[in-house]
Amino acid sequence: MDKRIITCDYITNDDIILFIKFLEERFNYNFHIYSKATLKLRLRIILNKYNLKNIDELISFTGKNKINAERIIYDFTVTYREFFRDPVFLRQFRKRVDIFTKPLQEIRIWIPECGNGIEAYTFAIILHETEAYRNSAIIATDSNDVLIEKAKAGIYPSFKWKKDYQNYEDSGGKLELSELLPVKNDIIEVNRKLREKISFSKHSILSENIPGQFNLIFFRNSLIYFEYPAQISILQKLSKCLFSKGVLCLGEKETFHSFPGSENFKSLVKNERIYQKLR
Amino acid sequence: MIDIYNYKCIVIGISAGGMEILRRFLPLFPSDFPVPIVIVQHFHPNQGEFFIKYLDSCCNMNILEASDKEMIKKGNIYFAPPNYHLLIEENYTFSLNVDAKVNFSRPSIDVLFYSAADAYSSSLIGIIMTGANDDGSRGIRYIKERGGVTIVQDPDTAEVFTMPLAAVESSKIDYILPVENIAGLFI
Repeated sequence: MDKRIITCDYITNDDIILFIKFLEERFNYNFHIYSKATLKLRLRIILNKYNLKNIDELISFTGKNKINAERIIYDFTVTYREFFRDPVFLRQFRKRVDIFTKPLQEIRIWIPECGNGIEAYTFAIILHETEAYRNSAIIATDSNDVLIEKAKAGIYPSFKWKKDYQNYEDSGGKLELSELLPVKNDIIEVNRKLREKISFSKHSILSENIPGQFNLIFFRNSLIYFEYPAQISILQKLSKCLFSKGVLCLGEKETFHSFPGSENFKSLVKNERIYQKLR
Repeated sequence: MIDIYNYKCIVIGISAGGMEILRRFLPLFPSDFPVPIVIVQHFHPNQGEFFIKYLDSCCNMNILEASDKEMIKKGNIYFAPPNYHLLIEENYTFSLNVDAKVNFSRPSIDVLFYSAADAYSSSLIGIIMTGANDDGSRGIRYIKERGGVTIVQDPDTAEVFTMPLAAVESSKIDYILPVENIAGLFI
């Protein structure tokens, strides 16, 4: 299942730009500020998967019909996620969440760039064991309609469910996971109550409008997909969306210190990317 | 001999049996070695940090974990962080991602090698050493196609021969040598 092969001929930067422009004009997606090396990797995997020789063939294949377009855009945009990635972080987060949410009547939580929803469900399950869960409103957004529909449906292949369950246990999770993420006939179907707890909607992190103010934002391993200047503007936007004392969670290898405005945050947990806005 | 001043970067892919090899190989490089070295080693997820600290204490070059969007600089040897793919952008900075495993691996050697060959073309040297799968065998062929130099640890001398053998079978490799002689090519 994980076997991906990336052999194919040289892809130039012009090729990438050509395909990005095609996606923009035809489908209104903006990939200009994404890491070009990562986009090239995905293009190589796609060319190989669909047995296409070059970008011209890819563009005509994608433009041919709606089914092709959906498959290619899905493969090009979906950020691969696994349940309960980085259990050490999740354990630290669960331990502290009630401390900083205690004074709040309502806890507004945002998961931007939620992709196919796995990261949103991961956090909902972690929060499930905390006091915060009851009073929380969870909003998860993505710019891609296809992904939003997948996220709402909450159905995933189960080929690595044992690892998922193990990671949950390693995070210190105490709930009966077989109720929340039941595995049946090679799929995981997320528990209905959990699905209803999260409101999935379309929104691009790059757009001008912001979806409101939040107490908590989960944004793990999304920043790394962008070029550096875009990372700065995204962090500034997320910072604006946080209430005073709000908390931002980033991925294990995402650093915060170089962005203008980081002085208005403090690190809540040593070695973990959990930052609290001071004012 | 390779005139190292004609090159801008060395990439290394290494897996099972790699710790012992790197412990002997990396201290051979002087602190003023003129190009950076970037390594994908299939670590056990919890071993990486300890190993990097240990190597740093016995090498002349600085041993670091590669950071997202960091500029790649000479004098440094960078390791891919566990559980992330490591890629090189055309402006010689790193990018990390958490895309699906390639060749059952993340970090994947092929992923690093392809992106490095795109960025450095003929100014790149690629090395495959001991390991138990075939990750890197496509990437090293691609480095050759882009005009770079390719080196493989002689499979007969490797702790685990599978990976170097897959590399040797993938394309015409410029140098197939025991580890000790590899360092001798540019020092």
